[in-house]
Amino acid sequence: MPTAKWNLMHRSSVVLNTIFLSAVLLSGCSFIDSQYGYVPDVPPLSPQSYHEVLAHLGAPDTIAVVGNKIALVYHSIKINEPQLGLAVWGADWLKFSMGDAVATHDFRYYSFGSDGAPVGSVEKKWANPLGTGSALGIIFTAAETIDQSRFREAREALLWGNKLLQNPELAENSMNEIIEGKRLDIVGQRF
Amino acid sequence: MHSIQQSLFILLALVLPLFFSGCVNYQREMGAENIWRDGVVFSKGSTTIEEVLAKLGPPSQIVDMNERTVFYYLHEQVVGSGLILLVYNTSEEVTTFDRAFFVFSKEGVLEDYAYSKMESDAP
Repeated sequence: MPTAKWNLMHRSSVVLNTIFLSAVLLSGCSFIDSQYGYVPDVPPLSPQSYHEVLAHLGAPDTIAVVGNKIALVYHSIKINEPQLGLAVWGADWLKFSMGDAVATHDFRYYSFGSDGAPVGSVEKKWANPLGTGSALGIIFTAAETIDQSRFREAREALLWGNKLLQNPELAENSMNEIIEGKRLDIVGQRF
Repeated sequence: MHSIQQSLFILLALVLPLFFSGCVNYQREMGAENIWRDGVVFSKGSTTIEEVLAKLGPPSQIVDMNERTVFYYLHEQVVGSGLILLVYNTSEEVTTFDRAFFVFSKEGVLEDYAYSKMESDAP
């Protein structure tokens, strides 16, 4: 029959062992969120002129002019990257992180002809995994394990408007198809 | 009793740094100064290119839209924050683009304009 003293010692032993094991196999988690741009959350539009688009969505991220047609593009990217970090007690300045990131896109595209009439439009939200990555860090840091440089390139493109559309002379597909939204895959989407 | 309190204090001093490692905040801005947020008034159908230039300065980009001209102003702001603990870290970086977009007729009169909708204004 265990005595009260034995029970107390047993409990203390369990607690100490748990603390020791937690310390030895110490794991950490990180959440890294990035966001590039913002697209207002408004209901789907069927604009009859570019004025309606501006009124509902504000200034576009990109404006493209091809021939006598214009396109207004809105695009935002949110990246969520949860990470699991492993560290060993006594060497807690060293951390190994494994990350798995997902990018969520909000994309809206409207084009108009020379007479101002709508030519094509696309409204789409989608998410795509960016794969997994890992990093070995010295001193605890919350660093990306997924390469986000391509999104930063896109941000640079968004800075200067119409770079997102391909050069008409180099485009493999007809620019009419692109600007009418029939070839969505090459309208500013490299991800 | 006094020595127990001292021991607890020392233990606390040793344990606390394990859980509170640090936090970081940063902000950077690039591009045109977003003067358009300062209550500057423009009127469709009467404001001219010259007036917009006088109020906002040179645009970040000029786009030729066939018979129209677009002045495109861009202000970029990056705000980041992070909390670095031993077993839990979090960081967030938000890049906000604040744009002003002016469409002028071939006569140089303002036809329409818009500013970026900001996430902070969302209901």
